[in-house]
Amino acid sequence: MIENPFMAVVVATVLGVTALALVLFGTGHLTLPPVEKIPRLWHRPDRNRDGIEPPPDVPVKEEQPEEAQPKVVRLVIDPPRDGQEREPRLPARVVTGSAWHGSFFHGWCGTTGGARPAVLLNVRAASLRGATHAGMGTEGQDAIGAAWDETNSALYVAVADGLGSLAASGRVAAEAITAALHLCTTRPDSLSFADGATRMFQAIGAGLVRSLKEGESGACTLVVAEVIPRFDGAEVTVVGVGDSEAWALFDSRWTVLHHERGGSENATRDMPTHAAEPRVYSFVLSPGSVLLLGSDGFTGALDMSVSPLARALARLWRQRPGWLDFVNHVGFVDEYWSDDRSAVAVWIGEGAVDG
Amino acid sequence: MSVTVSERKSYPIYIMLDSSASMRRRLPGALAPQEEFEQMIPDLIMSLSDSRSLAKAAWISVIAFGDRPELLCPMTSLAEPVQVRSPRDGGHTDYAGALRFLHERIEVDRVAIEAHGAAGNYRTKVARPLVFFITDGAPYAHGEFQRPGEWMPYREKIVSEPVQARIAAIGLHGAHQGTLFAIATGKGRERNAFIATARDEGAGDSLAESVITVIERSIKLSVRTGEMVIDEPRGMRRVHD
Repeated sequence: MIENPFMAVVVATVLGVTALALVLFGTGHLTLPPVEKIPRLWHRPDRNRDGIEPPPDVPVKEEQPEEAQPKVVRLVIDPPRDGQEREPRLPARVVTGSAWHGSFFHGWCGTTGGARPAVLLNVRAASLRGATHAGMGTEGQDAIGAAWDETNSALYVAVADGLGSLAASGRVAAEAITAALHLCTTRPDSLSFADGATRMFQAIGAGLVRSLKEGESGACTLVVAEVIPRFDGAEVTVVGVGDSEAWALFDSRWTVLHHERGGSENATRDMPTHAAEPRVYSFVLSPGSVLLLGSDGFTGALDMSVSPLARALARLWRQRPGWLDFVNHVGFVDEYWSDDRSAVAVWIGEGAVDG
Repeated sequence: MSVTVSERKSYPIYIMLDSSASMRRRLPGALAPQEEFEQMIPDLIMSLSDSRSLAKAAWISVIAFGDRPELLCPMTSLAEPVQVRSPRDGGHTDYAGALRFLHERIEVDRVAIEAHGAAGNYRTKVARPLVFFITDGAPYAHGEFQRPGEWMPYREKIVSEPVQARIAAIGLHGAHQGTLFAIATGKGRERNAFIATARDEGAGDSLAESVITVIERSIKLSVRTGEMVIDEPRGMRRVHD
């Protein structure tokens, strides 16, 4: 285990050179040496660290298999040739939500050629209208999205949770996601995602205010992440306002990347009210990690010790689940968690050819 | 709150029902206010219990107050059967006694709710109490009008730290508006004080709907940081200072 960032960079460089040699002189198939899993989650810049806690000393205890976990069995009419369904490429940009129906998307993205091989990323995302909205006959108000920026080889994922107390919050959440993905992928090259995060959130907030008609009110939480795949994992920067959260899963341990828990109420910071005060964190995630963004209806059930959901997902997400299984996981059964649920998860590949 | 152990919030709800003589005054063709509310409360509890997500999170207690406070229903989880008995007929309307009793109950109930959730694989956090204070707005005790200076200190204890209860004051047609406004909490000058616009047989039903909506919103949906403001129930209007 290497926890020193400098040492991790040295290891990454050695592995990168090895891979490059194989590409140049090998047989055409990139065969990587076994890569030791290195839990390298650390803060790079020391900014806005409030609220982040170190992972507990004891890893999350493994769930006893198996019978309590529901399993979705696919209806197979004609099995695929190699026994596995093809994972589609992630659309260049996708925005969806939970208004009157559940929705999901999935796919892979990454750089497949070039001199600097990098891991591939696999995305699973689902947004489900909550039982409370269904019971009240009102629309769900979560929105999710993802965009792959081919030019900069970066993935952007986002989750917004409309505030149920304000009528136009569902539309506001969808507009926040659309604006965030647009601004992420059209940012000037000279401006890093982390450095431009506050300006980006301010611009999104200003746009949301303009979009509200007179007498209309709406607001949402917003968490956006940039994922830059590298040879040995991914650089991740998370920006957030409000109680939508970001988590990382590695080696059966959950670590929180962004959260704003703390009050005894369900009141939260929101966009556009707090657009000028986003919290920004940067990390490096190891190969095999999972980055998870979620609305509080889903991530509120997670913790770093005894949460049954956290334990179950730590086991079920050791390998990326099928898309239908993922939807099943987001729709876990527990009547307490009855608000809209959204989750966007990114599996960081374990090698440059891992699709 | 840390992320080491996840938390589930429990929401204590208090219904305070004025059972003084003036609440039993009946006009031709209409139920007396107390009868109206006595019919409303079981329906309200049944509707709340029917919502599975609310039943998991909400607790309810009903307290009548006249000459003295009377616990009609101790704090009970909506996931369990809730039994509310009828109030004794009171004569006076002792606000000071009622609010002092409520303040005492809030701490006792908080401890009981936390203990109830202690066995799970999560921590139970008790949210700010929601109080629905149903009255005609005429405090009267020991043979004379009870001045605000006598009962407001107890109201302040309930709405300030650490309890920070939120109070909706509700009166039927003819209730004293200034008193309703003084009891209620809200945001700025907009307080959760409501009065029926006319004698209306359906006032109890619309009030029940409104109470259910506000409970659902405040418990299960995300809200903007700040004080809760209840929408005007149908057939009622907001009272201003």
